[in-house]
Amino acid sequence: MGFIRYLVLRASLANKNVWFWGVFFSLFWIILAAYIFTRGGGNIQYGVTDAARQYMADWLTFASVYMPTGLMVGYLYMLVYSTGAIPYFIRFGRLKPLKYLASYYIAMVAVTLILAAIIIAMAIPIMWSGFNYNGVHVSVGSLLPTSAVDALGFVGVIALNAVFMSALMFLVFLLALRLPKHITRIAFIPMYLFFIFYFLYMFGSIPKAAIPLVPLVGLLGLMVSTYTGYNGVPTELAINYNIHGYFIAPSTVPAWQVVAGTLTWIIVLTALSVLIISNIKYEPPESIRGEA
Amino acid sequence: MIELSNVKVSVGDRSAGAFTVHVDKMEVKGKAVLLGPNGSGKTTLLRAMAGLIPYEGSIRINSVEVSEARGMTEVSSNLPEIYQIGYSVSGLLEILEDLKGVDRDEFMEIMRRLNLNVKEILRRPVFALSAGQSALVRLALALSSRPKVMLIDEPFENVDPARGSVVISMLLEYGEEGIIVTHELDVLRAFKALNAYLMLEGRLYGPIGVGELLESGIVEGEAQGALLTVRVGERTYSIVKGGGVKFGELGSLNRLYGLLG
Repeated sequence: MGFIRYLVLRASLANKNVWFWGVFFSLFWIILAAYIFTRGGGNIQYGVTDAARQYMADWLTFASVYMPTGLMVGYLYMLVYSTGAIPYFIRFGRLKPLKYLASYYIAMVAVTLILAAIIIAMAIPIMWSGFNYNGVHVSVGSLLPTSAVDALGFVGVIALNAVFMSALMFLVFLLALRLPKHITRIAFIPMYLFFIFYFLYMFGSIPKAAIPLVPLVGLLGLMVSTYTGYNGVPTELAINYNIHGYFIAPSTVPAWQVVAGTLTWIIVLTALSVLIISNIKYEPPESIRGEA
Repeated sequence: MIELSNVKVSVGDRSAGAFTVHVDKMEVKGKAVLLGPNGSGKTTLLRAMAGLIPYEGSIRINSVEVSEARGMTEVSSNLPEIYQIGYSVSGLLEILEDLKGVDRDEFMEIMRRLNLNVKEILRRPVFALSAGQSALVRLALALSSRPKVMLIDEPFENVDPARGSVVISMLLEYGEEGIIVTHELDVLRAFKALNAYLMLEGRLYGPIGVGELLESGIVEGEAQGALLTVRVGERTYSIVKGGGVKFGELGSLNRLYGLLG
């Protein structure tokens, strides 16, 4: 527990970068979403409650998925300084490769849920105020999940996403240790992937078959569907309405497919990471500096 | 027991000229001292023994091959690379309690014996410790899991003489077996009862009794009845009783190459 406690309290909650990039940066986008991007939202005449809830879900999803990518970059720099400690504690301590990974996963879930709770608590009044400011008159209730079960599901998907992002980024970073001079660039690849898939999903339509296979998309959709109470994962995040002002709900993919796809990815990524960690050798942290 | 046979440890890029440490045979029962000038390969060998870097041949601790060892908490080292896992000393202690079985009370007691301000040091980031404090904190962390086998690297470097004597007594008191790496010859008198190995330019020589070594000198060529014959550069030197450059008077082995050159 000591290592997990260290990761949660000292490496995360006591780290001002985590608060800045995890909470304040997310809230900055939510403020933009509330006051700027909702302009013209008054055109929705019918189904405004559904549209508002989905809009809220879209942005909370953005914050909840983006946050672990930033958090993990911080954690992963610890890895650069731990290449001496890992083989030593595996051989002459109580560390097991799976325990090591699981510690990061658990810490990531704990920190993500804490920060997400703070963001959600602040985002609801901000978004409500933004909607009403731009003439979209909605109640606070219409911005909340449809039921307690949906709210719990949303929390569960945030946790699942935190584990998936940890598994993906850990493996990417372990591979990057073999190219130490490029670590800084490589560390941000999952974050770039997240932005690419998020905006593809937000402003385009993802093929149904790809949603369960690509957790970077599927989890975004699953978060929205649990928050909004959709029966399935939507194929697009954009709020569409027809010329008569009716909100058009997107087509969906069964949620279990996304969960199963994500779990499969987590198992595969974790197995590969465990293999690499078992054979890790000391790499001087100075090697990431390289030469021009 | 620590046993090495036909060990080869290479570090650095081939393009930049890899450095290789060779050990034909080494058997340590109880504790031994590994001596050598800076850059001779002592720490590289210790890193391989601590499982940090790969090696060829065989390194066995209590009959377990290091590369296959798992969960042997009775082995402990103070190598700095291990202690970069945490940011502050208190964080490091928290991690080591979990991953190494370090006893917090034992750590506090060792710090008190070393006359270090624990409260202040615990708050500090590991990188902000002075070189001497860092050496002592790492030693305290390594010993506070009460190991049976110790792999101790340069415990006297940047440590003042008063604390140095506390370190000596702790190294004799803790653990049943182990290797103490140093280039400081001044402290050797406290380890007279132990065996010493000499590492020169990546090659291991020995064993030789510490007491015997302190009373010996080094002369060029292959002398008859030499305790050890070593090679430095292209030349051969012999360690002989009496005569030559006395080890006991060198102070630090870092002066050896200068004197031989």
